Amino acid sequence: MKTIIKDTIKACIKGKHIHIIFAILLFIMVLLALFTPEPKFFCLPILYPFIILMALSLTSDSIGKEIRNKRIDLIITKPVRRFEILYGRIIGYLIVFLIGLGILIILSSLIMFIRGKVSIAGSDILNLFITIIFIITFNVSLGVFAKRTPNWVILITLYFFWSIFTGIRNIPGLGKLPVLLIDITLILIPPFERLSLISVFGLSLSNFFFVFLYLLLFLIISTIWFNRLEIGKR
Amino acid sequence: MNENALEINGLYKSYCSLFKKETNAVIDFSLQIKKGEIFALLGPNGAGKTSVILTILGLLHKNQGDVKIFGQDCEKIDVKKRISYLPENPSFNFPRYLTAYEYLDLHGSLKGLSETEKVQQINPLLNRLELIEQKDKRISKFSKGMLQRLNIAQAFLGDPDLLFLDEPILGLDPMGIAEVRKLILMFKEKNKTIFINSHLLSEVEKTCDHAGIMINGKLKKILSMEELSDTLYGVAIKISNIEEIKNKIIKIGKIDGKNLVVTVKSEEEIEKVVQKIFKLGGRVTNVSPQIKNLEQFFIELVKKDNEDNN
Repeated sequence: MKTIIKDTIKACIKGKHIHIIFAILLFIMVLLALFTPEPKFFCLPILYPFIILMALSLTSDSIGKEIRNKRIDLIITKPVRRFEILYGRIIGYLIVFLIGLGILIILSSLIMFIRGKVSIAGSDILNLFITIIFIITFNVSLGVFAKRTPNWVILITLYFFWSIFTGIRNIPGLGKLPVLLIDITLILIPPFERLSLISVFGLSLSNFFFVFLYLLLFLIISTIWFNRLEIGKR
Repeated sequence: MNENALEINGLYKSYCSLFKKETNAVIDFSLQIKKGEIFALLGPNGAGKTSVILTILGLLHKNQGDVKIFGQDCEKIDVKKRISYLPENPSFNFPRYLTAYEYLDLHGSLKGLSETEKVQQINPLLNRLELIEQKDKRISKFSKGMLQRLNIAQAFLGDPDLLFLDEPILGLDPMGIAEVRKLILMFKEKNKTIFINSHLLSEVEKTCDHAGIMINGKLKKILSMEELSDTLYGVAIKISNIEEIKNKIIKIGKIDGKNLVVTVKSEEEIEKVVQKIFKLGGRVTNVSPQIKNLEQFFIELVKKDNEDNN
């Protein structure tokens, strides 16, 4: 798995130039920190949506693409288990993003300290980390279900569409539905609302357990699916 | 005891999807390849050759049957340490941001080679395949032939005991073809086993010990190259006065310049044909037996199968 992790990190840096993207974000952040007259909430939270979108776009379809361009064929024929490929990719992306985020947070805190402004809330940082972990794990795992790009697009759209219904309890009339049915539906829905791209900061610590449970289940299903997947089929 | 490197018994592989009818790609495929042997799997397009290789390698899951490599189940990690694979048409599957050396280093690590082993093996391989000067060049700048050479280097890396080569010389220039042939034969000398999937029958004839012909998912025939070289196909009889007796001998065979080409199956038949020509007044100056080559055998078998199916 170590080789797969190293390869993923290399792919992020050499293939996707993620360090340049992070450097640009860092530059924007420093500019904002230095020239905003009243950076009350400071500049890092402004970058959250960009970081999340970056994680989404860079990890999207990564395994699916490898299956389609047959790069994975050679890796599978090596003494590597399939789950190692999936988990290695996820861990590789997580390392890159968490290190990048860590640098951004340390630097922003430093600038904040120098300027004597309000510090970033710890829960906000935790929130961002959890969001990134969720997006990367979910996105990379989703790739194993999509051997074709349209499949991936359909899957991600379905999931986002589904997430709209997390507020099912609040829809007038639907409250009369059996509680169990609503609860089952809610379990199946990904925790996007609690962890949505827009309301990232709405996450409370009580939801973490649900987020991780959901991820764990999704990862188990993805692993089983990936193990049974026919690769190289024409 | 000559251990079997690969043993396949009653392999079945079919493809089915939600909206498509089930298709049988491999039907009751059984094969034994001895250690140190070079085996070629031949067949027309769509015969199921790649499905066989992909199933052996664990990329596809078999429906039925047993596949054993060196006596062990083919999907075991220990088995994968001893095998290597060269995929067909590699131009899409390269990580183009890597250099040639980095690419081989990655595959060496995946094969579990130590840093020292990688250093000892990568440079000589790159040198052998004439890629040493390009070792620090990005793969994105490589030509199709260079990519194929790099792919071959990847397959030979780690000194595998069993090598699966899918169209190994596709896209190579004559120099490259000769080098790959040398590499294959050098591998054979080390008592390694090679399974080749190729369309280039003349190359197969030069390098392989046995060839299996697969048609419509079934393994129809296994040929020994040694036996094949002894198989008489026909005879070319040079007749100096062929124009004079043309009308009389036209029924015996095909006229090709000053030669009469006759299909025969034994040496006795050659004698009879020559005597017949003498009786018809022909002056025979030369008789050269024609040995059946793999291509002729292959075409005959495919034609026969098509006729049987019709």
